[in-house]
Amino acid sequence: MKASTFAIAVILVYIGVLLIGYALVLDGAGLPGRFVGYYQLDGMQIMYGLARQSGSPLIYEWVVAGVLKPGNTTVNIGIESFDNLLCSNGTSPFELTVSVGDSSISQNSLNASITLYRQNALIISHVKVVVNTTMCRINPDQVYVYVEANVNEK
Amino acid sequence: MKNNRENSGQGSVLVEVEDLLVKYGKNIALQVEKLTVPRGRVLVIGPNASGKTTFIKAVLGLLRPKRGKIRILGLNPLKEMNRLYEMTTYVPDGNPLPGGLRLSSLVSMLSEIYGDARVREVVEMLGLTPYMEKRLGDLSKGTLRKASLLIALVSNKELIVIDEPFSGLDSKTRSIVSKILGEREGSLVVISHIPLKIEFDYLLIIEAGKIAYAGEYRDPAELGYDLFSWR
Repeated sequence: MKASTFAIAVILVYIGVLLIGYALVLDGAGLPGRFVGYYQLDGMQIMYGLARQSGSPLIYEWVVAGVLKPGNTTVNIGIESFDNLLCSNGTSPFELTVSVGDSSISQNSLNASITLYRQNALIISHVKVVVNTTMCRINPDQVYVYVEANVNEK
Repeated sequence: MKNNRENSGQGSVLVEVEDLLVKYGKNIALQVEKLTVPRGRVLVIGPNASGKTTFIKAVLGLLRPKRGKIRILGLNPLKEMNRLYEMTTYVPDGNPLPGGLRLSSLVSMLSEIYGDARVREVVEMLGLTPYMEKRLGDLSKGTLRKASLLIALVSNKELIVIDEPFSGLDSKTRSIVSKILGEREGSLVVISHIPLKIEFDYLLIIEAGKIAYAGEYRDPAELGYDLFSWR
């Protein structure tokens, strides 16, 4: 086989593999249907007392990116306090916002969720947590935020 | 000096602990039968993983012990955490500050609470002025430690608790920090492996999760402890 023929064969195989790979990603084959991450709110131990005294809320924002099967997807975010979060019934010191693309939801609660249809495997969620330190009793060392994305099976 | 500080505020007791047990999983992290620490300047020392930070977290209500009674500044730390936070400034080891926050925003927050003049003075002393517009996450380890310590150094609260204040600091900054902490009124609890030029009133040595010494401050070397071997 001539070198030029061999080179053309290699290029064709390479393009073929790329196309098959792209088709598989579009289809979601082999991709996970679930993602879960836990995040501690940095510096709460120090900032909690300061924020209480100044009366300002604490604001945390970050981006969570992952690769998931395309499809109908629910993104949940929530507060998990392992100890000592004490509020009156029905109140939450947290305002949670989750945005994916043009879809967004904001709730004054301990959890918030958004459901949307995704065509691409890549998911980028923008998460915002605003902590009102003047209400409730929060153990600042033990507040975690979970971010969970599930592709809903048909 | 000791008596002046002890008589300020409510009573002369800083921390009271009885039958305290803290476990991480099945491991006993800290066990204290009875301990009364008077108000004043307290140095907490001990080898790595001996339970010093666990002790501080337990008395500040940041972790829930398996059992035991704790009172700090006359308060139950688990039930009266908000009141405790109004009276206490705690700076943990490891500089856990929000990385996205600009130093200028932190300084503004502190100025609102403690007054602009005092905060600016300490910012200057620590050499933090050139970093005002930087995000905390972009600062070097030493500069970030200075930013964490700024919070304690400007505080006029009843109690300041600092875990390893000198970690990552040069000797000049250590002297400044020691000077400011040494001049303040109110109680101070410091965990440190590095000697501070501060006149302490009380010494607490924790070894293997137990109190090895609790009493009037003495040079740890006199008690047979070698601080260098713990670094």
